[in-house]
Amino acid sequence: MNSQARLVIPGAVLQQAIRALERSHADWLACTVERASRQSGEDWLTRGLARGRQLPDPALVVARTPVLPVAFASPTAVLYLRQGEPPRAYLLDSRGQRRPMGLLILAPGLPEVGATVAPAPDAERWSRVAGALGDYAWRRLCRLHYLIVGCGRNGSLIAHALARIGAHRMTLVDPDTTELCNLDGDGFLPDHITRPKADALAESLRAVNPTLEVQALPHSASDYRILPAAREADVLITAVDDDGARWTVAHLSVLYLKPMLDVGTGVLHTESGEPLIGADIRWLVPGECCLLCTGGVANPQQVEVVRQGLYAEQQHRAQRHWQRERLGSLRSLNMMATGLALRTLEDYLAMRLHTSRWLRLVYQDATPQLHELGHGAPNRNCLCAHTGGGDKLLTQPLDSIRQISHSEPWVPNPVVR
Amino acid sequence: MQRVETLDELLVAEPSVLTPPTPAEVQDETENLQVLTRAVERIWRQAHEEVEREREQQRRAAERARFNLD
Repeated sequence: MNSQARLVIPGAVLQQAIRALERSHADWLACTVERASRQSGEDWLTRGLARGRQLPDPALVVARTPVLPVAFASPTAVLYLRQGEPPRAYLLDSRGQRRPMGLLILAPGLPEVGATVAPAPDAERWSRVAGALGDYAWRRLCRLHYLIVGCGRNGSLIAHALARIGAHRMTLVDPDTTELCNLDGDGFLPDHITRPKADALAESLRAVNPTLEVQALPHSASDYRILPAAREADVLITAVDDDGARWTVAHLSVLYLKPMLDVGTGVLHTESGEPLIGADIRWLVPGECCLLCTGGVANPQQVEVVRQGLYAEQQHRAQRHWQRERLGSLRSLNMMATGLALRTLEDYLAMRLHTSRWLRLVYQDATPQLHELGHGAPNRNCLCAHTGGGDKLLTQPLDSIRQISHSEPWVPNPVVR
Repeated sequence: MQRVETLDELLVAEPSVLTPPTPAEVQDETENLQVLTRAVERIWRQAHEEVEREREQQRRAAERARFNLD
């Protein structure tokens, strides 16, 4: 089915709505929604339960009766739920006519109906991964559209791993060009030096999987030119060494209801002289939590730079020197971190993982230690207030910007001046 | 567009559905719908259990001693 409109609803918001229906014994209730255009139609992004007596416009009505006792002046999305029956989403216009909508729920498995059907992946080529994950999770993994921000060591490893297990669509974002020191990433060749990293990585991915649709965007994450791709994508992946870019993508994730997979690694200086080696891996499902309420960012100054605009960002990038920030990079560490990140995504799609997750890998006395730090909860200082805000809230200043969360940040680098 | 009176009529009224899907697409969409239905059922169950717990707590909080004799 090629659906024109799709209803996107975070599992946490749906749970709130059902809870409110159960509490009140009402037949229906309204939620606020925002609309965002995509190439294949329009997303109706569910924000939360409507407050006050006025019906919001546009609105989503969550109903457990097929007959609604009200008329709507403008098109309204309806999610019809009845226990024991499949849920149905449709668009109700002012004349009472109904058009079916696609439906995506941000819940384990990222279940979606009514989506444009992508070509069936070659079952023989990927028989092993399909066998291990189960058919549903593997097909879902293949058909999701991934926006990967950061094409360095972690980004290239994730992109190649996804391409090699059958992913069908990817968009790569990175403003940098390939340098000699980038050749320890996956897919980079000496011929790629001076070419944009995103282009070089896209070329190597096409060689691995010719059926892959891959788009390279050699721009910063905060550049408006990545917006259409962010709206189109299903999962946003950040593998960046800049918290400004990390924060920007976290904001897009919340605004457009896209789950975010964040990977950060570090081999850092310490006062003892022993390197501090570790990684943070965060799987963040909008409606449950965001980057800021789940660990925040290690370097809030980089967020401030991004907020000052692209020129400030370019200047900041030009002045950075890697030796001031880290001892170096370890491909072995990148492989572990991206492996854990990919496993987290696989477990969520296979419905073995039920919520957002924050994992931290730390090396202590040459022994790897893995900690599960749990995820945060929406609060007034985080990005969650903008959940489902779409284009409308894209340019609105955030009250939280001066209070970027510092709870459990990744260990700051003691020698950074 | 043809006017429809019931939800079930949607399936025949929507022109895009009239293009016959391949058996593989039908199987995929059926499985997607099953997973979606299970996800909603799980969310519903959790919400219901939460509300039941709240009601039970309210009942307990409202309970008063009845036996004050002998």
